[in-house]
Amino acid sequence: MKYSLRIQLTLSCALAIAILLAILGITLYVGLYQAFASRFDLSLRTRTALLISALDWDSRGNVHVGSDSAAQDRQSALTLPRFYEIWTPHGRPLLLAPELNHRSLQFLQPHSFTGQFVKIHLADGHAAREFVIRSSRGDREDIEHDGHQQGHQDPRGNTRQSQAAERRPSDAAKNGINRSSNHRQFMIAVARPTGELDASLDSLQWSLIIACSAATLLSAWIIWWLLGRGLRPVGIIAEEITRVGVNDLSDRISVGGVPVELIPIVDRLNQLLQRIEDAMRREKAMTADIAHELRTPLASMRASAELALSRPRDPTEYQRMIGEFLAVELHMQHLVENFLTLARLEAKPKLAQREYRSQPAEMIRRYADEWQGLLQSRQIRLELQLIDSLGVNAPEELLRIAIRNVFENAVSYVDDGGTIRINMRRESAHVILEFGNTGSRVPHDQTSMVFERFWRGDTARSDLTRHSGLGLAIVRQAVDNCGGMVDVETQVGGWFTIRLSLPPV
Amino acid sequence: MRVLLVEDFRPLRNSIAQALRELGYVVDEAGDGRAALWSLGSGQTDLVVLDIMLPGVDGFGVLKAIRAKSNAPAVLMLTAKDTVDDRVAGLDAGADDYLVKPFALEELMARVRALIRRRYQVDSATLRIGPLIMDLNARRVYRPDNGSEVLLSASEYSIFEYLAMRKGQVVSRSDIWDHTHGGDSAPESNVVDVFIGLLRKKIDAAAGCRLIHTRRGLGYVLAETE
Repeated sequence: MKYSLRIQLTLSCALAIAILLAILGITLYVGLYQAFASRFDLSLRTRTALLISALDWDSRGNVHVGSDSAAQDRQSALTLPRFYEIWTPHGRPLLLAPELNHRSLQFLQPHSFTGQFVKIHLADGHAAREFVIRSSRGDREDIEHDGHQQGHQDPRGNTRQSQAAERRPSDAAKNGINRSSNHRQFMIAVARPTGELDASLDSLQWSLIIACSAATLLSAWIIWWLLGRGLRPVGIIAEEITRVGVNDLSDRISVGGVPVELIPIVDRLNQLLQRIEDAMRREKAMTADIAHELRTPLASMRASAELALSRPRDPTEYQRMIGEFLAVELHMQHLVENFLTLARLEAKPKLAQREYRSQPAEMIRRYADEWQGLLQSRQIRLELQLIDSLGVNAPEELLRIAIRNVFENAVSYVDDGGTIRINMRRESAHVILEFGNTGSRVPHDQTSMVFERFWRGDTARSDLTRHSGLGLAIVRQAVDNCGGMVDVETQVGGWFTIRLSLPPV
Repeated sequence: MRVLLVEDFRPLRNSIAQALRELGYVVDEAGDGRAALWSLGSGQTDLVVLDIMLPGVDGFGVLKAIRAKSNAPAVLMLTAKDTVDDRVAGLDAGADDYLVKPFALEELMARVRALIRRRYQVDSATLRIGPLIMDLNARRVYRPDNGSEVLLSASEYSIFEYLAMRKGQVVSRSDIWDHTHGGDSAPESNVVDVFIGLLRKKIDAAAGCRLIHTRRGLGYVLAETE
């Protein structure tokens, strides 16, 4: 599956918002639930107190709810509870509210005189809360006092005992010993349906769930939309890149309208494009060069072959033509080899810093021996000033390619009877190799051109010696790959000097 | 016909020059732009075969100098560049034709022939001269009514061809010499007359009437009537 930043971000933001809203909703719900429940319990306790105050006891211990006008007046805001039952402390029923239809409420021994809440179902099946308390005749002040003390009760009936509440039962128990002997104590339970409370809590719960879900969905949609807007520059950049690809590579992605966060990416892309363009331009120039440099000798070979075949000729003429054909072939072979050498060198990355130990003095001596015959026949003087102890930190192969080509160049261009001078010295952080020759015809203003591919001295190509026009380009590339530098100098008297600066061992 | 061949790669220049000479052309050779411009100074060149990539003055520079001349020769460009842009650049600069290396020698020769014909406003490769037919491609002259061929030496053919190309015009001796033999040396005064004498004998005999007429003090003219 494709990875979408927009979907990912939207989902994670929506999830975070949903969790946050859920925590908020639950906290709110629990808080409100407790508030409602404690109000409900307080009201139940108050009604119980009202009922106790309304009880009429006769001398035999029978009880009934009297029409105690005083109690009614005092608690005008409240009415007497509808569901109640009174037992003796041992559970013998004394009074059952007529509304209960002879179905007894749940009897339980409260742990203390503060009373206990319990969740029950009434006979008609409605959920209700029951408050059970041990009381005694005429101690209504106690109950009421208790009710006010008992500020906060958990709706499930677990009494959160305050310091005051803990002390009270022991006091009551102490007093109770005298009273129980007089049968003044009784248990009273009052129940009230919780239907209304449950309904409002239910609706609260549903409101919260709906509100939170709606808020989550809405914020997800907003985030989706905002991300769409925020990510639009990415799309624009993508279009720009497509445009750049379609047109030529000289186009650049414009930074205008791109947010700062994406500017580094655009900059890097532009740099990459620049490098690609440079590479392509080099490639194109190279291809054009190859085309010209290879097609001309090819044309020549074809023309001479066709010419030879165009009519019957003398054997000597055939010999001359085949000789010429072969010369062109050799030229082309040399060209192709040099070309491949250069291409290989250009394709190779610069060498990582490694330890090489090449001996240029030895190599130069070897080439000097190789060309001795040719140099003598052309009466060329070779002056060598070599230092054997100077090593170069470059691979032997690269150094050999560089030295061979620069040496060949000197031999090719030196005038008959001229001088080739090769110097070696150590200069601060470099080993310097200098190859000088007399007889140079390179114009002073064109000296820097000699390292260019296929650059030749003015009429060099017309005499078909082994000039590919690549020798010095190869030298420069090989030295460059070694981490060195090349330099050229022309001096009066036709001196032409190539200087190689190479890293020392 | 006189061709200037400008090509810096000597073996290719040698081959083309030899091929052209074997076909009877007078060939001047130049290895670079400067030499080409110097050779053009004589003003007798019919066609320049011009390489674009030259040391010194390049092919376009030479082309510009050619186009600046009156009675400019035709130019056939030779180049190793083969993109459309390169062709357009060459033709826009005023080249009459364009050939990409490597090429068939046969094709080069055909184009050379065509360009020279065009320069002399000759539409067909065969010319009718009185009762004779000259086939420019096969380089022969014959009489179609009895099928007999007029056997001419290379020099005679070249002179006859030149006269035929300029049929009806008076052609000076030096023009004839420059376009058929060339060389830097001035012609011996009577060399052309000797060749014309030999040619006239063969042609008039084959045609049965006089075709080559002498214009005293001016030169010669090839015409069916006086």
